[in-house]
Amino acid sequence: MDALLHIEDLTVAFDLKYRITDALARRERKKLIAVDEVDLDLMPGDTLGLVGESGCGKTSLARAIMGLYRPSEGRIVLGGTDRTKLSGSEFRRSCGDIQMVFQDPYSSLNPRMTVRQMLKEELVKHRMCGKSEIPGRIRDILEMVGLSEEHADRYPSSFSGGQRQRICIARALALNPKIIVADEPVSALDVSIQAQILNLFVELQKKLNLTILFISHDLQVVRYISSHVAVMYLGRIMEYGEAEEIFRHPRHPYTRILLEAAPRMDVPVNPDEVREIIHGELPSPMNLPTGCRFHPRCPCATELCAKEEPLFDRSASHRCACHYPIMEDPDDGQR
Amino acid sequence: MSDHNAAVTRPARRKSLFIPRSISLTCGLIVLAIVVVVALFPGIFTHYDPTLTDPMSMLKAPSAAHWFGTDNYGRDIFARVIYGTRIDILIGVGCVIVPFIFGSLMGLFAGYYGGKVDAVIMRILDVFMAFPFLVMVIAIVAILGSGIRNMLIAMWVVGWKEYARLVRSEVLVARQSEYVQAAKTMGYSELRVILRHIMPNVISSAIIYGASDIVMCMGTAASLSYLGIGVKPPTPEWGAIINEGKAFIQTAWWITVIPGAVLAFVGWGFSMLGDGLSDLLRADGQ
Amino acid sequence: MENILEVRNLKMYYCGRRETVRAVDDVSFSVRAGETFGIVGESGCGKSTVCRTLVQMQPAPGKILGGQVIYRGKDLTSLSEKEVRAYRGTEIGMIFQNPMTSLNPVMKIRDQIFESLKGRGLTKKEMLDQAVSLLRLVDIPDPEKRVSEYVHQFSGGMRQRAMIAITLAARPKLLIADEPTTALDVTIQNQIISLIARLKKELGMSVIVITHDLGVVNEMCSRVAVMYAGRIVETAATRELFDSPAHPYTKGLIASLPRGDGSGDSLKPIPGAPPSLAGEFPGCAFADRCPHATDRCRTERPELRPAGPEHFAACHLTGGNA
Repeated sequence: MDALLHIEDLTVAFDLKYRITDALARRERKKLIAVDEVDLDLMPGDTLGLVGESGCGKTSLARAIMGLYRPSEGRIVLGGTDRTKLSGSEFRRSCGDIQMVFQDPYSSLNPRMTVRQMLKEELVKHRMCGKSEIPGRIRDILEMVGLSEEHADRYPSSFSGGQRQRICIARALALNPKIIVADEPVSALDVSIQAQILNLFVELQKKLNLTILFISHDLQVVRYISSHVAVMYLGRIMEYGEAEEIFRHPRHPYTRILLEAAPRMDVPVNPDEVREIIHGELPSPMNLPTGCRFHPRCPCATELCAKEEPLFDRSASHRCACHYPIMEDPDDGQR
Repeated sequence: MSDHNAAVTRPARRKSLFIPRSISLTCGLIVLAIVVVVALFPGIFTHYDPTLTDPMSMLKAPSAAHWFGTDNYGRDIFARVIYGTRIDILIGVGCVIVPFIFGSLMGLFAGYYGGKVDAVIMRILDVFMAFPFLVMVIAIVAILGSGIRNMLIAMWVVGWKEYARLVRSEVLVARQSEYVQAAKTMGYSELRVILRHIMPNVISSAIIYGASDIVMCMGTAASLSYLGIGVKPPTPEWGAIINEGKAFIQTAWWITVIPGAVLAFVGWGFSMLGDGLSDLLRADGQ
Repeated sequence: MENILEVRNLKMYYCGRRETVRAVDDVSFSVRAGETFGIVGESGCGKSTVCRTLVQMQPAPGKILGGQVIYRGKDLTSLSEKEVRAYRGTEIGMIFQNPMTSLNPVMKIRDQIFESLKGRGLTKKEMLDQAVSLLRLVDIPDPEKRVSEYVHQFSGGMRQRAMIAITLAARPKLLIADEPTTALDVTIQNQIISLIARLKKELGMSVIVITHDLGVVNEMCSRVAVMYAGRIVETAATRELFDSPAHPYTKGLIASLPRGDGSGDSLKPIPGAPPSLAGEFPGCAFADRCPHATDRCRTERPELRPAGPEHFAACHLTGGNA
């Protein structure tokens, strides 16, 4: 099966501020490499979970896919066309194919537009339907996300967090996209509301056969919703594979540490026991470690790890960028 | 997470300017209403001609016939103040509306595009910031010659910078916000993103500033007339009236004091309006 | 075991001109010496407000309208604002979610620690030694150098450690941690949780953890209270709560979380959203979202009643009289 979205060697770098004093001191121009040569394929109907800690580049990757950041290298191929090569107007026309749901439902809705104005603007601009059909279409979209027409003429300030996120999803769905990029769509929501939104994603995906790139720092959420998972660390994909495979048999030490470090409620723990799993802090992305980026914090790192960056076989179904992948079965995905 | 308060669903409420919810907004609107009516229909408030001289009643103190007294040509001060309202309001509004639009647009573009566009606009702005406001106005009027039109032009040239700065600083915040990012992912053109999605969210502070700026412009216009380079006599303008009265301040205080008080009252009203507007617009945005 | 803190029927309302917000409504719980007690709930349920109210730090216009806060035999609510201040920091220390906003950005870490060491008759040198050893205690590498840095020079996890060090300078006996790990990454979160567990043991403190994350509760707390709409709806030992939740809200919360077993069972969210605290609920605040609610739930307020050993739930349907 061909990939719906094919990302190849994608690099996103930001120029850092270069002051006159830097020039005088003949310091090099520094770049922050947020996403470093990432390859990813999104199959039709798939939900790819992208996991990583803050600063690992997952949001930059999402924004580069959406065209909000210009990648410095690489290709983003959607339906046969490379989105990085499109002209302004071509790009704007293709926006309907791929839509985004943002993290913060409080800041991602224009406070001065009602739900109806917002949806109508989209439908009209992208000529989704005739003028007379617009009210009906708006009703359908709102119903699809569990809202009703009475919500249409309100401003965002009158909605709760969960409802706002539903509106954001409605806004993304209005253009009949093939792909939804969801950047931490539930992390700003309360637990009980989070479950509502997750279920909505699952339900919509089944109904509309959507393909979803689901970004989250919460492993359990990703496990629940994804069919494939990619683990990102400091701009690189460290491990990629089928979701259950990754969670049951993590090969990369980083994945394993992430799984063990996340507080969970379904495993009995003695709260008085000190259980520190990983030492050290995330290195600054402006000053990447040599070799494997994880080696300074990795419990099984050797000299080789400090020298040589491990790469993975891009065709394998379970890819792991590690010189010493964990091959034995751990305890079947349980802690 | 706990930043957000309890999720409360409130019914949509129609926000109307005509149901003021604050004392300052109410006061401001009352003053505005009085001023507008006076400016539109000066004839119904007085039967005197503001420019008609009457040698029989020169420098008369306020009385039943002449409420605000008369000046040294025997002109009725009350009539002059009433007829002056239109000119002063025109000057106030005229001085504000052009800089408001131009400055806000400059601020929008500078903030949104950043980089070179921002650098160029901000450097031009720095030049204007470097001169004291009144000195700059006087200099321009001196070059162009006095008169209402030239005075307006001078005020436009120096007035836009505040709006540009205010709007730009708000745009810098707004352009990072997710709703702007979302609008871009919708494939909207940049102009649409700027005018439809950013502008309504950043314009409120410029509107609020505008309301108080009207007061300042009226004050400036009055000072220019007082300096003799603004409105030419015998046109009734508050600053000009005050200016004419200054020679008689010891014998006929009403010529200067009463129009001054009227100017202060209208200024207070517009400040109240700005204050009330700011409460209303800020609350509305949340 | 002895209780270091006992809260009895605490009521704190925000009395505004137009409405009264029942932020803390008849809350009772107790913290034992040496234990970590968790208060869990969703945003706006009043969990942070309860803890601020303990030391009379509730935001204006909040008023304590009843109840007692008995800290080591002394009722803090009966004290004046000035007298309570003696307890803040020195007896009851607090750490917050965001160290960046709760630490002073223009003061060196050293000077912020000195603030709590003043008045003990220490020399400058002794204070500095203390500050360095505090930073060492919270595992900040290179403490001699970092003690004279500012907060912004620290990374997220280090900031949280620095805040803990500053709070510990006064040697509080009770530490209140308000969402101490929420803003942190998973790996750093684990480090801070371990740090608090270690410090608690080494310094013999009691800890109250406020969080929305049931996972954090499981990792840190021996007992836990679940709050909803300003009230405690259930309290139990942590394992007991997760294994046999008695209140429908607790059950709903647990069912809303993806299980870590990969079973793929669909989540069972709680319908609706939490109510506004400005409203008045004659009955159970959860009744509108509860699948089992009866007429009685809407009219009569349920008291906490036994649902197991040391397990209490405020629900009419527990305790066999359903």
